[in-house]
Amino acid sequence: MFAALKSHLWAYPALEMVHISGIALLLGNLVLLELRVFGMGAALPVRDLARLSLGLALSGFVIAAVSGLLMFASQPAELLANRAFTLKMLLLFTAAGNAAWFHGRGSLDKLDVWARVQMALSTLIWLAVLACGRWIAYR
Amino acid sequence: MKRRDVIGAVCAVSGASLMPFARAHHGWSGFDQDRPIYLEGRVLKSLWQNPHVELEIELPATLTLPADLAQRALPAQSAPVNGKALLDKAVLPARKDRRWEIELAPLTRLQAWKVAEIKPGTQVSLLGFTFAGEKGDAVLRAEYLFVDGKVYGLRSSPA
Repeated sequence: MFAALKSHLWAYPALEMVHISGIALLLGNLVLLELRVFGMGAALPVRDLARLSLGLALSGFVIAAVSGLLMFASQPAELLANRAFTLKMLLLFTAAGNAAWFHGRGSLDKLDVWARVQMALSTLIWLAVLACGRWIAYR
Repeated sequence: MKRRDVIGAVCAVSGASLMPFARAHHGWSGFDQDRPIYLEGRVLKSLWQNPHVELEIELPATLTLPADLAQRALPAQSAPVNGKALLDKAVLPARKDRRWEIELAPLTRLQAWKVAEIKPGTQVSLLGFTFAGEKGDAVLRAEYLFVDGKVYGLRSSPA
């Protein structure tokens, strides 16, 4: 049933556009929070900024995940055989682990060296996810 | 009028004016993957570039389906493509165009297959898909490339 998404004239590219908008919301807002954790915009209360930024980032992730799931459903075997795709999925788990670690230890309140390490890691991981996603078509 | 209104208007107008150019390049979703087409001919132009290599070929005056086509061995690749089924179903195009635009794979994938750069004048054969009902331009998205006595898969990297 989902395979029809592939042969429909503009369904797949439309999903890709939605996917990209999710990526933009996610990455942009995480980088914003990272800068605050590193001390920029110190006058902005962290908790308030984080509520706004992480809320948007989460919305972006959900948009990317739903559109991504639909694209995956249209050609699962082909994607599972693609090393760029499987690496991307592995990196997603790493990003989730890093986020759990960040919130689990209260990094948002501590704003210490480890908080900065975790935020920097977050950006690196998400950029790698982005690169893998684009690489799928070139593999 | 505030400056931001002017900037906004300029952006909207320039965005809208780029629309016709957006139609010039087509995606992969418009091809009829239930109807594999066989083509062969001489390469007139070769654009060895990303996002995918493009060839312009000229078919012979009378194109015929090779007798051995269904028996040809196809190489293994990582994506689950049933090449044998495609060969069995292969037909010649109904349209009479002698010039076709062929879309191959991205450079990285052609490199994975070790395909040497194809120069104008080379004879190539292809199995691929065109638009549903053979409408629009004479474009073939190639699934298999036969050149210089070798066969290459184009959907994914070699297995």
